[in-house]
Order: sequence, then C-alpha cells, then structure tokens
Amino acid sequence: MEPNSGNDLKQQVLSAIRSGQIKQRGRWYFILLAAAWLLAAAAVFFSLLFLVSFVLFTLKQNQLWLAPAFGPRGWGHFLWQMPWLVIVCTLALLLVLEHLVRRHQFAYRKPLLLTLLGLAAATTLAGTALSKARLHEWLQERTRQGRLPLAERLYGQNKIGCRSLAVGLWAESLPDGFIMLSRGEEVNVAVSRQTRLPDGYKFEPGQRLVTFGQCREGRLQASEVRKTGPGARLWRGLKRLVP
Amino acid sequence: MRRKEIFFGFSCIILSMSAHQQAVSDEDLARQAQTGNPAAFGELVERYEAKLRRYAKKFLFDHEDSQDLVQEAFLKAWANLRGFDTSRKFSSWVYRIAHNEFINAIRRKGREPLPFFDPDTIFPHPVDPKKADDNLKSEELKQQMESCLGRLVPKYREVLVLYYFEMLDYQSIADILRVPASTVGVRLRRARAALQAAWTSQENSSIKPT
Repeated sequence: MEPNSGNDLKQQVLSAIRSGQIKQRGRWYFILLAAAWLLAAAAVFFSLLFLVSFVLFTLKQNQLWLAPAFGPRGWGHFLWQMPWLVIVCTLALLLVLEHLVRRHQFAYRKPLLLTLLGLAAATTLAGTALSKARLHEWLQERTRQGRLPLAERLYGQNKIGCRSLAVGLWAESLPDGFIMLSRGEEVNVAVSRQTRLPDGYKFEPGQRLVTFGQCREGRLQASEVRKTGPGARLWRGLKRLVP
Repeated sequence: MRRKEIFFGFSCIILSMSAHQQAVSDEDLARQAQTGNPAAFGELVERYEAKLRRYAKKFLFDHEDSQDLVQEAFLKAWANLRGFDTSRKFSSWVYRIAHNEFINAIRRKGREPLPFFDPDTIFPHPVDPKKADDNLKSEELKQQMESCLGRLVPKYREVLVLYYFEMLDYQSIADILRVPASTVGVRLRRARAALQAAWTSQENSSIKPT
C-alpha cells in the first residue's frame, strides 16, 4: 500500500463533503422511499387477494370442484373451465411481491422457496376470507346489470344458461329427462340409455342432485347423475340404467 | 521536574482520548455523522478504507479502478447515511454499498458473466460445519487464491475474498450479498472446488514434458 494513501482518500472524501459536492439525503427521502415500496407491495398484495378470491369464486360458481368426481371427462371439464389466465396473472404477481419483499432481512435470509410458499399461503388464506365476503357476487350482479362493462370479461363467463355441470334440486319429471332447479334457474336435463344413474332411480321433489354432461340446444345431455345431501355419497360408484 | 510532570500528564490525556476514540463503535460514529458531522464520518473512512481497498483489489484486479470505486463507495455511504439503521451493523452496510459499486463496475466492463438470478437461493441447504483442520486448509487455500483467484467467476471469487481475506462470518456475508447463509456455504464449497480445479490445471500446465 502506498504511504499516505489512506490520508489521501480520507481527505478527498472529506473535501467532497465540505465543498458540498456530495450532500446527505434527508431522512424524508428514505421515509418516502420506504412508503413507496410499502404502497407497491400493498397494491400487489391486494391485487393478489382479489385474483385468488376470484379463482375460488369461479370454482364455487361453476361447482368445478365437483367435476373430478366424474372421472376423466370430469377432469377434462375441470381443467378446461379453470380460469388459467387469472391463475397465470396470480403467479406472476406472486413473483413480483416476492421481489418487493426480498430487500428486507426477514425475506432474503430465507431460501426463495420458503418465502414464496409463505407468501402463497398468506394470500390464499386472505383470499379465501375475502371470497366469503361476497364481493364477487356483488360485482357479478353489477356486471349483469350492465353497470360494469369493464368487468364483462371477468364475470361474463359465468353467464346464465346451460352449464355442463349443475348442482340443484329435482323439480319435475319429463318424458326424456327431468327439470332441476340450480341457482334459482331451471335446468332442462335429458336422460338417455347412456346416462349413468344412481341406485334407486326415483327422485323426489327437492332431492339434491349433481348432473354432468354436455350442453346441446339449450339442454343438458346428462352422462351421469348423482344424488347428494345427507345419506348420499357423491363418490360412490354408479350403475348404468338398462331398461 | 515540573516540565516532566506536565509532559507526563499531557501524554496521559492524549492516550486516554485515543483510547476513547477506539471505544466508540462504528454505529455511534455513524449516528454522529448522520447529524452532518464530517469528522465522525472521516473516522469511519479511516477504519474501513484499508478493508475496502483490499476487498476491491482482490475482487476486481484493477488497482486504479478499485481506488476510484472505493472512494465512490464512501461518497455514496455519506449521501445515504441517514437511511442507515444504526441498530444494525455498519460494516455490513458499507460492505454492501461497496459490493454494489464493484458489481456495477464489472457489469459496465461486460467482460465477466453476472447472472441476474442465482438458483442456489431457491432451496434450503445445510450449512457447512467448521472442521478442525480448517486453519491449515485456509493457508493452503490462500496460496491457491493468490495465484488463481482471477480465473474464477465473480460469484465464487467474491465469497472467497469476503470469507478468507475480510474474515467475515457466513451471516455477515449473507447480509452483504442479500442471500441466505446456507447459500453462502454452498457458494464457498463450490468456489473452493473451482479454485482447486484452477490450481490443478495451472500446476499441470506448468509441468514441462520430459
């Protein structure tokens, strides 16, 4: 090391400070900076809550969580109907949130996987709580009334009409099927020789049913019908009805 | 006799003042400097100048640039001093500023790989326990490092410099690099292996065929 190099450096630094070439940033600068980071993290977190609760709302609205009970076709329906774009956006925002919190000791001292799992758990729990608040039901109603045109893309997929999976109450018998009431609407179900029906094919008014099939010409062509409710196991095997 | 007594008394005062200065912690000095006291900051520069110069010299291998970068690091430390939390360690904070300066310099030159993301930070790793013969091995390693450090990528070079030359512990290095302490252990292990490979390659290439 050169002699006096330490003094040179110290003198150069102090000279730059005393001449005003370098000024100390005020404490307000750091307070504002911290507030900006906090706001950004909060905005991302609340966006995540909204998206997570929306995914749960979609699952509940379409009763998608019941679809896997109907085997491979049910799984296919489940995967096809999932709001994948929303899920991808949720994952992207989770990574953004991870990046925002990573500058803090509590985050960077842990492996990335653990902080990501922690953030995912926190947003899932909070999103589940938010989904109970019926926010999305309210927004969906506003969208249907035409008061939220921007939300049409989000809530429009849960339109009234024929759905491949319907949970409801048996209401009335038809020559080739029956009518069930699902979410306040009538669902016209067509039953054929290929329809799998539960043991004891005798439905009483008010019997709770789950029907899965394909929509054709406004009718639900049932491939399977199952009873639900007290005393009925949804996941029990079915027998094909052969007249 | 009176002159000797005065001289003796004066020397005691000087010695006790310098002892008091040594007893003042870095964080206390930083607290004083935060109120705009350049002298307190000058004391900090004196304490860390040699360390940061050594860090820069070993990490960057470009002596002229390293002096400028160390000066720049101190100036940035002064500018951002009011953002320093005095309940934390000043050394980790100032080393972090120096680390950022050095990494930016490497990026500007564009000669060495600096990946944006390190996969070693994803999963937890067990931390290497210290072994009894670590002191002996570290002397052998220092010899290898003097010879082959420049051949390692910055990611491995830096942990070796901070651990063996700056004598920092895993947690301090983790706070400087903003990674988990277990990642520091993994990088050190891989850095030692890479260094050994570079050393062996150098030794083999220096053996003349008969």
